[in-house]
Amino acid sequence: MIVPSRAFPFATMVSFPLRVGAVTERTIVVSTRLSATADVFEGHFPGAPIFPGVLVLELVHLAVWTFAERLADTGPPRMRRIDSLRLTAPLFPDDEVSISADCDIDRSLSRMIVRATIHAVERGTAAATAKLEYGLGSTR
Amino acid sequence: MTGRDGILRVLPHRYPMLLLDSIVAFEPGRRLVATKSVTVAEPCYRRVAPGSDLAYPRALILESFGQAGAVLCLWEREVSRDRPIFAAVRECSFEADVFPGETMEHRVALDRELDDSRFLSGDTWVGGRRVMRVDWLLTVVRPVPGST
Repeated sequence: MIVPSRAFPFATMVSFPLRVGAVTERTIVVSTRLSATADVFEGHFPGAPIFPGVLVLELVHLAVWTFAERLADTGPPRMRRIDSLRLTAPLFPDDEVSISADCDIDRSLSRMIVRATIHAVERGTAAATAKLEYGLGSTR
Repeated sequence: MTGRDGILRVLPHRYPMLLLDSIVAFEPGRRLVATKSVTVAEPCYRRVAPGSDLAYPRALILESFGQAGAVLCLWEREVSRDRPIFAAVRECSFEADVFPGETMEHRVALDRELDDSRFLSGDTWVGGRRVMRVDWLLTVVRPVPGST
């Protein structure tokens, strides 16, 4: 299934269509190609394009939002805390990336703990790992 | 002090990823206060439909804060030779949303330097409300390939 960026009802700098892979009760895997023509590469950096590391959080957010959209008993997810984010290898234009997220929901606290890994598929390297806390209230 | 020329001199980032407008206070090697105004004309809002959530992406709040930290780390360096690499963050809390029409003020402190690593902390405010707190952010200063 491909989820075009227009399907997301919020602002985002990431405009790559997502391919949704395996989804289980608490995990989701999505992938996308970081198109070399994307705006972000024009300014980061001119003449030496590298995917902005912090924007892996946007990729994870799209995966988490896609995961949570299937849940009937929670509000939209809103990132409220980064416990840790480690950027371990750069991502470049036209890289195929895979985002795997384990989403541990605690309904009594209206929160979700997300452990995510981002891989550069063709190089077989881990580009980033993150542990995030999401709120699942009535507002995103 | 606006520091716009300094921002352009120090940071290699450019539109649409230059997320800093001005410097309002600066103690070299110690702390820096910088601002970024959010407008609905920014690329992150390009695809939003009427009725969508217009909160500024939280990843971009952190990126903008990180750029303020990079200015603090690199002020006396030459951009053509050194480049800031965002490497890690811990204990970052988002406490409120930021919307178009609002101006963020990043207050960044340089806590420690170790070789090419810079450890930063601080918070981001909109008016009187804190929107983000960062306890620990690691930026690594690396030479631009071919510059040495």
